[in-house]
Amino acid sequence: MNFDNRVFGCAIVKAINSNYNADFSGQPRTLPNGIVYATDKAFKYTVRYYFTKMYPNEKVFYFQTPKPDTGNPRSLDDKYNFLFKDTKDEKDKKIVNGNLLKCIDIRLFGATYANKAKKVNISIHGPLQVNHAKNIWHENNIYTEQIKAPFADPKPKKEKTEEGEESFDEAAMTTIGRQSKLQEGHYLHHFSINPQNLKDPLEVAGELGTALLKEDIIKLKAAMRQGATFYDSASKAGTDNEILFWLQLNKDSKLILPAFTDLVKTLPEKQEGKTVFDFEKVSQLLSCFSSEIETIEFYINGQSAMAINLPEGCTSLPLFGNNGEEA
Amino acid sequence: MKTVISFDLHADMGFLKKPDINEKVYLTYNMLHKPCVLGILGAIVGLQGFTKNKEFPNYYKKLKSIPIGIKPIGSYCDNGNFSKIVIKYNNATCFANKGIEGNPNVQAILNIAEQTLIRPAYRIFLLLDLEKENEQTLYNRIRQQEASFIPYLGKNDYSAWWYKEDVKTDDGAILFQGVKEYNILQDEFKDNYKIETVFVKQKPVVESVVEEGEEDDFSDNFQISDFGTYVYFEKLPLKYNEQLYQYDYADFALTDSKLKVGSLPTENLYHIQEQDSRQRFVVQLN
Repeated sequence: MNFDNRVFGCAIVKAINSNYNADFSGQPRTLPNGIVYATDKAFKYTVRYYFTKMYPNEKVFYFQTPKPDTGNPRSLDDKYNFLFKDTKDEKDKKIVNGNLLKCIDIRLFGATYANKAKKVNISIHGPLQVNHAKNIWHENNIYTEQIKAPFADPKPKKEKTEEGEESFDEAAMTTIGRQSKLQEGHYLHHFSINPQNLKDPLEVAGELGTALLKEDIIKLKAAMRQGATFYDSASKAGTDNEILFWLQLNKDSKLILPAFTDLVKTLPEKQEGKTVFDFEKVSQLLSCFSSEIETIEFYINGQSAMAINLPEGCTSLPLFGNNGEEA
Repeated sequence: MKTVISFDLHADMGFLKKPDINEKVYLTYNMLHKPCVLGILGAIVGLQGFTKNKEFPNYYKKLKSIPIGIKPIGSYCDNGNFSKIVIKYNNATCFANKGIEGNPNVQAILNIAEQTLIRPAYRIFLLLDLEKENEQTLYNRIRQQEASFIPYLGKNDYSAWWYKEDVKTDDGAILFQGVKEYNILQDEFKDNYKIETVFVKQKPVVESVVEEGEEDDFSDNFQISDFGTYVYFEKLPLKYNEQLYQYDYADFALTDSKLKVGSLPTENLYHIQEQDSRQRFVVQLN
């Protein structure tokens, strides 16, 4: 079954003593006014990571994988040949489009496929577009701590002995490194889904094409609800999914909605240790468009967060678990 | 029937790529420009975008004759300028960067640095001919806050939107302006005028602006605000050069000063009046 409704929504990722998305100095990314933000790539990475680990049968194209012999990453061409073994030297746009659309990440995020070796250039505008996130918590406290490396510096000082022979002065100490974290942050990513975006590549691919499926959406929701929590690394421990707000419009609705970045607020005071998210402005906005809305789903981690002023007709569901959706 | 409408396009961030730099850092234009607006209009109507080299897409062929005016707006706009940040990120798929030094067979991570606009917002004026099908569709969709494809500002990470009706604060002040429609007034531009939008400058702006003391300061119409506080300049794409498949540029300016009679050619100047508030002003639609 194809999925063909337009969707707007937001995904909130919390980071407690964690570094969800660092800049090239290792600090959480900040705007010139000091507000912490994250790129869309950070969130999309958690979704792709979840796909590769939880749905090993799904093809995920834009994700780094190692070559089995050398361990070096695969090139674009290698990856294509690895995923689509039967169509090695294919240049036909119809077949290439069809193959690319077999990958769940391309059906969602799109692709820029520029294969120089085969002289094929294909650009697929993905239905799912994730925006950069802004921290909607009232503080942006970044701290840096020093950490000691367990090993000595591999480049010890060279010294000449009296006889003129070279000897190495072994380092007496190990080196000190630094890591930075955000004390508390609630990153809000606005996103939209417009299945219409796949119309052109589907036309080119003809009977070989795969449209955005209802099953894809179920898997996507699972990844958007759990992907960040699922991905634990040293710096991402403490980064968890918190909320997924999913606003599905009627089938032929062409409505455009503003980004929810400024509409969802957090209250500065926690209640019973839970962060309070205020959806009043979202509710106000949606009250004008109630005839265009099919469903509103609201997933929340009830242990750490609560929401007030949710829009009418909104069903609240737990963030984790399959909520009876996944097969 | 011809009509002028305006809508306010907002985005959290934006990136309007300058095509003349492709290494180290990608730069953005500060001001929205016509070729970019045409793409957004194409998304609203649902016309196909670029697919082939050396071939103009459907949206461009069908919409390029629409006269368009642009005005930067919003509380993040400082005399026409939006603040910017350079965002660095990795393309870690290892598909985009061939070769670590000395070993061209090993795929590497690609670093990208991109100058990005923060909170850009623009008022877009369109002169639409409602007898043309696409322009009628545009007219309807813009007024209903609808679009075939969800518009974005330069990159699809930066969703863009507008409001069909005014959004007001609790005390009634307008926070965001909705879609407005205007009547075109007859005017031969024989008086000095202030211009709302960015305009193509024909001669140094310093020779065009009306300075203090030049007008009769004691006339009844005198307002202190007639003398401007800033002039903003940017070289911006005006249209595509259809032989070379690249942008044709023009020198644009924006000022809150009055301009002298004859500073600008009058063919694309329009004196318009908003239908509800009856406010009048001059725009340049290119």
